Amino acid sequence: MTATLDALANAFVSMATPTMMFHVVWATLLGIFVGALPGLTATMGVALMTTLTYSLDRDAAVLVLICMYVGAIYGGSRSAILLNIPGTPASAATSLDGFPLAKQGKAGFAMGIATLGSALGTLVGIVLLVLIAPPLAQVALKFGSFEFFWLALFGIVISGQLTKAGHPAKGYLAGFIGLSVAMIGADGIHSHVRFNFGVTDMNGGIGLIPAMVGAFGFAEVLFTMSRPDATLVQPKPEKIDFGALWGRIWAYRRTVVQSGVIGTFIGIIPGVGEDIGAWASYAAAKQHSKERDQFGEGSCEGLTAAETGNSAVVPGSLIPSLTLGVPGSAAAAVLIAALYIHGIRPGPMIMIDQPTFIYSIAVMLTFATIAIGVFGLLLTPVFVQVLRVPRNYLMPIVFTMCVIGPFALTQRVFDIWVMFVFGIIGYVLRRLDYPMAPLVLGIILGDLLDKSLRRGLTLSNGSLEPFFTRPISAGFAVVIVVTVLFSFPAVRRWWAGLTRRGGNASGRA
Amino acid sequence: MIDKRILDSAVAAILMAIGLAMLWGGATMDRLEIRRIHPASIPGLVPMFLGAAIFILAFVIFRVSRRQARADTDDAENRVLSGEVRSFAVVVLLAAIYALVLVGTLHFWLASSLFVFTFIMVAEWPRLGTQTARLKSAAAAAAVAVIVTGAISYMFEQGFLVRLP
Amino acid sequence: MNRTAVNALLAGTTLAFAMGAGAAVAADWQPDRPINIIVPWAAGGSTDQVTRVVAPLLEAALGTPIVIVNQPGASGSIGTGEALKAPRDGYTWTANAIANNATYAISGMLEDTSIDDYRIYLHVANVPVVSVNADSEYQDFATLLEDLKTKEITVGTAGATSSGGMALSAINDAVEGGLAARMVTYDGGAPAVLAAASGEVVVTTQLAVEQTEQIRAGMIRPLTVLSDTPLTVEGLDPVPPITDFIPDFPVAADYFGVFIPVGGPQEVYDTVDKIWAEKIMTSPELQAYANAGGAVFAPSYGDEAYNRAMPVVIHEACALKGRGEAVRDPADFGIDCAAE
Repeated sequence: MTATLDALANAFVSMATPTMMFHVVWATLLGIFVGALPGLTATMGVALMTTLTYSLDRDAAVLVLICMYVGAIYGGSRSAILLNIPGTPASAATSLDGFPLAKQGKAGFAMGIATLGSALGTLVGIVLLVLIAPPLAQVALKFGSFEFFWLALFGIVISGQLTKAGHPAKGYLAGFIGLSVAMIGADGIHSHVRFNFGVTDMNGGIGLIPAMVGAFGFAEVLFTMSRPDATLVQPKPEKIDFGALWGRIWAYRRTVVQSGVIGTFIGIIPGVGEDIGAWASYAAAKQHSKERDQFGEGSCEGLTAAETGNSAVVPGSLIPSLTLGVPGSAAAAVLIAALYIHGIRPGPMIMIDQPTFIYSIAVMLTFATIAIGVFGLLLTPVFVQVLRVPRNYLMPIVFTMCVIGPFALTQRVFDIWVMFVFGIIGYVLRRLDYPMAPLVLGIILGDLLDKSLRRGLTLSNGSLEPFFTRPISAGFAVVIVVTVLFSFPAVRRWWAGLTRRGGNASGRA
Repeated sequence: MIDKRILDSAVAAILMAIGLAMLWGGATMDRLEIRRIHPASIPGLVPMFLGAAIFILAFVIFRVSRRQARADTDDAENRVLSGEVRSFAVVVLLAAIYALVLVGTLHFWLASSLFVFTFIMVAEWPRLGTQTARLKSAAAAAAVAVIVTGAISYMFEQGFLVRLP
Repeated sequence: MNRTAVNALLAGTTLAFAMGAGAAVAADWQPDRPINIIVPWAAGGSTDQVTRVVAPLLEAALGTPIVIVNQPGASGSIGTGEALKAPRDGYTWTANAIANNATYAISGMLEDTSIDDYRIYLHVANVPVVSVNADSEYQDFATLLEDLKTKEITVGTAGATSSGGMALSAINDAVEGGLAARMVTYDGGAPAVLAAASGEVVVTTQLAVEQTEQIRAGMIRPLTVLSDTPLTVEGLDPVPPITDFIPDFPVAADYFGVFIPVGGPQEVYDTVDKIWAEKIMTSPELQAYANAGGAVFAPSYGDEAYNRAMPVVIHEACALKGRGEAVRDPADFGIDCAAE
């Protein structure tokens, strides 16, 4: 334990120089803006910085990349709260409660909550990274094709719970539409092209980012312009009381810790990233929350869960990246490439060859966390100004961003078309009370569901048995069955009756 | 004016058709026998399940919306007003001309300035009674359009090294 | 967005810029704007990784920023198609394994494109290694090969057209189609290797670069390398070549590189030729990357690169034909499969 603290202290001392602080400041700030712009993602930001930091020395370069990563994941919440347009897929869950809060004139408070949630989420992840990185990495090895299948299915079950206004079936239907969109293009196992309708541009599938920017961003522009009653938030003079902010977060301490742990674990699992971390934390928080009926209508707890969950994924995803050489998220994959450039070979040997490196990473993450905390609170009054712009001026500018953002990512005109079509589909579906969140979740999970099921069946030679007999798989299966059962009111009532008799009235699923 | 419940059942019907089409598409999809793949890993497997699920869920919603439509209550909640349809159509038209035609034809800055300016003017027009108000508004719109889209173009081109369309 | 924010943002990038771009060497072609290298695979994959090592070297030599654009999808054919569609002005390049670019038309993923569409600059060659889970019973390739013929052993690869898949089919061809093994496809080389490390599959046939760290950690055991010389990686015992077990095994090294579509101004190719000869072929950074990772540092350009690339191109094209997946006959592109 003292050895760990010594190593951390040494890393801190060698890192806390004015030059390094300067890097922290600009890289985090840039990250926040990359994240806030719809379409630009953390992965793109880190990839861009990889080339630009080539000539910096190793620690400085890695520091810049980590600040960019943490900043971008956090920055996505700004546009999610203010405009109902998640800046990155990681913030899609943030918009569920963040935007309703902004509509109630509490944009500043919501951004404060999101800032603290993000910072605390990263801290939970850092603690786990420092204390138990190598054993945690073993979790990544336990997660095989069968478990991935259940994880994807679990995401779809979550989607049924994200419905607000309409019939619950609409939540599931939106989720299945998203899954079906993910079926377009070359499949992940045999590269067989499915449903491309003769368009070669569709061979590679429908991009998540353009679809999400369309379904949230362009659809939001259409909503705001065509429904006068759905006008933008009227900015009220709002004084943010930091004491109240802390008090609120303290009240949610259980949710914060739980979301931080869930986010870190999701981060460890290779191939699933911040977006799933946010959704899983959100769904878990909803299960035990006292204000569960507020979720989706401006619950500060829901917002905290989403933001803590997505930020905790960042340190989590670095655990397998560093100790197995297997990226825990897309941005972490680019980070690995950057480490190679600077002569660090992440993998199982890193704890033996460069045992202190993991502490340097922890210190870097801590700096980035402090930076998002400071910037988040300082810049909140600045960000709120966006709401003062009249909607007739703001909306065309937002649409311009919706066009250029997805294009910037891959530089393909086809992605602008995807954004446009999903905007119109999104508008029609939203107008009919279909929730958009499951649609995006479906697009994220479709590929994983498809590949894991078919890969699992290939491994088991067509048998379904391992899907139920492997320990983690069996656990998932039980959780899913229980969750689905409890979505029926009759079952909930029966269970509530049972537990009340037992003298325990918590009655949670 | 359109009844939202009619629209709801129409969309549900379309989704039912899509579900059936996916089910059929998945079932008839190439089984890749020539490549001797494992029969449990055929590409059409998951689309078949998804198609069936979409059909069933869309059918449920179709039934619900038909029942609601027959209930024959006319409240504001269920009306889609022609004003909404008109503004929707105008925004879609402007957005389509900009995103699908102008971007890629003109320089991004020029295309975006034109779009932002036109959009602001079209949206503000009904509020602008007098000639002076119109002129003032046009000047403001032009300034915002040129400066903001210029900043966006510069940021993406120089900052993020994106080759603009 | 507010003004201060934009300023801060721009200050950040300009600064990063100034640090990124080094001094330019005197060259005939002076690019006046950033060059895009389209990597048609996801960020962080093996192509992306090596390209990110090369890009800064080229950036310093050309004196202009080099932007790596990841356009993944459909086995790399989407991004490659975009690179070919771009104006032929020398500002859009692509990076890949050359055998992929040369066979997209044969597999029907792109129309009418061949190796002749590019000026080729190769940097490293990668070799597949057959490894097994550390807890498995197999200690040498000979025993494994016997069991591969008779038992349905699971082999993790990144797909039939990936390096690992090609390696497995090459072994299958070498024993006259006698393998009973079952191939399991993963999203890429790293996940396939991880599956072997965790024991989800028994064997992997992915590239050495994708396996070295797991080998070092003792999570997987390398049995043979698909080459005619042993594989030596820093800090590891040499891995015996497959020719020790199957003497007449056809070996074709899988070359990776950056490719500039032809039809641009001649000075572009001349300048990059010069840079390749002077900077890349002597680059200690690239050499270090190759040595540490189990790749072979084998830079070449132009006709020499073309000649080196052809064996693997012919091998992959004819393998596609042999599996009945060729949409166009390799003969249409001057590849004669009878000679294989």
